[in-house]
Amino acid sequence: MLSDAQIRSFAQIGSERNIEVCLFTTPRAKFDTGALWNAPAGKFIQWQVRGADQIRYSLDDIFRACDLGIRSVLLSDYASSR
Amino acid sequence: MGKLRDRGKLPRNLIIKSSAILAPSNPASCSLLERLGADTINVSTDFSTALIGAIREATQAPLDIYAESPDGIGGFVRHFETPELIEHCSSIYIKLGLRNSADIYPYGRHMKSLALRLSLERVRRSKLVYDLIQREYRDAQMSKAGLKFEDLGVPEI
Repeated sequence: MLSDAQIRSFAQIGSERNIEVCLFTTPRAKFDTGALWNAPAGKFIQWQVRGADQIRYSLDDIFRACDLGIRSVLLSDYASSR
Repeated sequence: MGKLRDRGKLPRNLIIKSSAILAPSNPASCSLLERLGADTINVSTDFSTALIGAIREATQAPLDIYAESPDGIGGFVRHFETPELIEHCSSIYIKLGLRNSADIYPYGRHMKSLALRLSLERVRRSKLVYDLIQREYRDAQMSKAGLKFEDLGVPEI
């Protein structure tokens, strides 16, 4: 939920000061319309990347961040590490 | 992502961090994450120094460790443990969430003042932990701020 201009400004600050800037990828199950993440025993899935579409959306997030200069991302699903 | 990076579809110097939400809970899980391409690993936030030490034996990846974790993943306040964590589990990144504070994901401008205040308190708490490390473990080696290290994902513009 960041504009290109915001990400560029983060990248600028990090680059000037040699600070890593790490962005958390979205979307995850908690953003999706499914309800399991909000069930009593389902909480643990809320950070998973849910379904093939969310993998695609997450990758789009990462490609966009890299294009804007970001060189560190945080992942919350085993499969997206692969 | 690890494969995309290997193939050059993503920048080869892209740092991939695995989140505390994955909460890998044993040395084998951490080793698996490392093989998948994770450059740094957040371990389960409630792990003792001994359990994290066993993970250190199984992986070369720096470990991201909460000296204080956000409420949503435990709210543990472990400032006093940081010297022994450094001694037995390095290389590690020490970080601070905030106990007793709101979860602001996803952030937006409507909560700007709150986010700013949370960030300032994190800085203050970080200084407390920094000072504690200086008192209790003077020989701890800390990366110097402002220098460029290969294992940091510094933006390229």
